[in-house]
Amino acid sequence: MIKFLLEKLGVLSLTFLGVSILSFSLIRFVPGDPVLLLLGERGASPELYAKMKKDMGLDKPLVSQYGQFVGNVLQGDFGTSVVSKQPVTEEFLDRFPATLELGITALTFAIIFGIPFGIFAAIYRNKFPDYTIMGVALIGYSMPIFWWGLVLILIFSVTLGLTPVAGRLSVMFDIEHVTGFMLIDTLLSPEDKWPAFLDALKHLILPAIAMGTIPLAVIARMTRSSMLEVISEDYMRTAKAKGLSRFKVVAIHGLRNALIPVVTIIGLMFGSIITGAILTETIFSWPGIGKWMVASVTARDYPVIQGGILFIAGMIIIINLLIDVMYIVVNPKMRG
Amino acid sequence: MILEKEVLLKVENLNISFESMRGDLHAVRDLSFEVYPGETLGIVGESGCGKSITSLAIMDLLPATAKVDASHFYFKNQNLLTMNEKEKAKIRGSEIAMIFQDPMTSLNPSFTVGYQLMETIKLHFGGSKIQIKEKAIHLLTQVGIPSAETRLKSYPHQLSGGMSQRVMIAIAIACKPKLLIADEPTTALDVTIQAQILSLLNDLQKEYNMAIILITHDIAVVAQMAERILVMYSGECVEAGLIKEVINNRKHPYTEGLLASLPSSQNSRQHRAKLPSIPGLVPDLANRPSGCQFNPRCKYTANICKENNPDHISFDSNNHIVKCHTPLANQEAT
Repeated sequence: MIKFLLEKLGVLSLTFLGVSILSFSLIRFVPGDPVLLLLGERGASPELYAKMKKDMGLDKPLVSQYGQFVGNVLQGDFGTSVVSKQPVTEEFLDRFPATLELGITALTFAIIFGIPFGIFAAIYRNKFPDYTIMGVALIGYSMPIFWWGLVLILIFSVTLGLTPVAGRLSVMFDIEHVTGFMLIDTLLSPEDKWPAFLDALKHLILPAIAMGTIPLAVIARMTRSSMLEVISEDYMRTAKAKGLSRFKVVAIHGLRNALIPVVTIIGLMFGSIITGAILTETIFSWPGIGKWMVASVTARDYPVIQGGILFIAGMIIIINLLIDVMYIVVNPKMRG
Repeated sequence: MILEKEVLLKVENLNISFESMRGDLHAVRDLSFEVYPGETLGIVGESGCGKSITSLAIMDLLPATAKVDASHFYFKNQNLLTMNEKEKAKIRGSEIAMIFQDPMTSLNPSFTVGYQLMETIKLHFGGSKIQIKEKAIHLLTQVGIPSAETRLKSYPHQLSGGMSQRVMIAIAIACKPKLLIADEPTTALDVTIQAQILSLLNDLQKEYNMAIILITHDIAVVAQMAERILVMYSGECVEAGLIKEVINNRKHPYTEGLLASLPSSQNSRQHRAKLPSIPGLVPDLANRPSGCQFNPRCKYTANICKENNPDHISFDSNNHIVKCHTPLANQEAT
C-alpha cells in the first residue's frame, strides 16, 4: 500500500509539472496583453507601459518568468492578482468551498439516483422500465447545461416560485464563513440556524441538479451495463443456488462487483464536474472558482489563471488518488 | 435394493424449451428419471445434450426465457413446478445443493471465502457469529482445506482451482442437503485433483447419506462413481440403467461410441491407433433430424430410424431402458 502510494505520488508530481508548463505557456500564447488591458488602450504613454510591464515582471524572457513562477509556487506563493491585488491563494480559498459544495451535492444527487436507476434498468432489461430509464438518461446526457439550467430556473424559480434564481444565500442572513460550506456554516451560526440552512439548501438545489444531470445519466448507463455483465456471471448463479433471495443476490453479490467500474467513472466525473462548474456557476451566479476563472481569462490576469489552473489540477489529482485508494477497497484483486 | 427406498426426486416427461429468434428450441424432450436417497446417478452426454440444463431446471436456475414443463416434477413429494419463489429459495442450498463446472468463476471475487461460506450457514441455520464461524472452520477442514481458520479470510483469486472447488463443496454440504447436483465438478481441474475431488464427494456422500446427480461428459468418471447411469443425446435419454449393466451390456450405438472413444491402456499399447470418435456433431436444436435423433451419426441406421423416433424399450432386468430401433445384441463383458 505504501509503495503503491509512493509510486502514485511520483507520477503525480510529474503530472503537476506538466500542468504548470501548459498553464503557464498557453495563456501567454493567447492574444491579448494584460498590461494594455490594465492601462486602457488609449491612455498609456510608452514609458508608463514599459514601467508597468517591468513591475509585473513580464519584460523578462519566458523561461526565466517560468522559473520564477515555479520557484514561488514551491515556496507556497502563487502570485497576486493584477486586477484585485489579492493573493491568488486567498482568492482561491475564498471561492473553492463554494464550488466544492456544489460539486459534492451534484455528484451525490447523481449517485443517489444514478445507481438505483441503473440497477433497476438492468433487472428489467429490454422491458418497459429499462427503455424508459435509458431513454430519459440519453436525453439527460444530451442536454446542454446552460439550456437545462435556464429551463430549471424558468420552471422552478420563475413559474413556481419555489427556489431563488441566483447566489448562495439570501441577503437577510448574515452568516460567518467558518468552513466555507454554506450548509455547514448556517448550522454553526448562533441564530437563524434552520431558516438559513433551508435558504442555503434552496439556493443549492437547482444548480446541483443542473450540474448533476449529465453525471447522473452517465452513472445510470454505466451501472446498467456493468450490472448486466455481472448478472450473467457464474457466481450470481451460485448465490441463487445457495437459496438467497433475488434481492440479496443482486444487492449483495451483484452490486459489489458491478460498482468497481462505476467507482472509476465517478472519480473521472468529479474532475469534469469541477471544470464544468464554469457554465453552471455563470448561469446561477454561483460565487465559485468557475466564475472566477472565466473573469480572470477575460482580464488576462496571468497569475490568477496559472495559479487557478494549478489549484484545480491539484484538486483533480488528489481526487484521482482517493479514487485509486477506493478502488483497492472495493476490488480485492488489487490488494494482491 | 434401491427400489425399496422412497423416491427423492422424480422427473417424468420433462420438457425444456427456449424461446429464440428461430422459434422454440427444445433443449430437453420427454426426459424421465428418478433419484433415490443416498445413491449416485450419473448423467452422461456430449456438450449441448441438455444435461446441465436439466440440473439447472431442478434448481430453477434457468434464465427467464426457458419454459419448463413436466407431467411429474417432484422433490420429496413437493411439486417443483407449482412452488413459489419463497418455497424454492428455502429448498435451494438447504435440501438441494449444487456445485458447478468452473470453481474459479463460481465464487464471488469480491467476497472472502469465509463470507461466502458463512452466508449460507447463516441463511439456513442462523446462530451466533461464533457458532457460524466454528461451523465454517469445521466444514473447510472436512473438505480437506489446511489451516481453515486463516483460509476464511482468503479471496477466491488467492486459491487454486482444486481449493476453490473444495470451498464450493463446503458451501454445498453446509446444510447437509439430501441431493447434491454436481455439474461437471472436475472438468476444469487437472487429473490428480479430479481424483481427489471425486473421492471427497464419495466420502461425504457416505457420511451424510446424500444423493448425488453427477453430470459429466466423461463416462469413465461415472463408471467410477455412480450406481446408475443415464445417457443423454440431444435432449433425450437414449439409454439408462444400472451402471454395470449399461457398460457391460450396452444397447445403444451412442453408448457404444462413448465407451469406444475412451482411451484405454490396450488401445495405446497395440499400435498407437487413432482414438475412435463418433463422427458428426450434435444436431442443431432448431433443425433436428427426423426420426431417431442419432441416426445421422449412427453406423447401424436403418430406414425406420429416419422415419420414426423410437420409444424406450426395457431390457432384461427391470431398469435397463434403451431408445433405439436397432439395439445392439448382448455382448461379452469387457
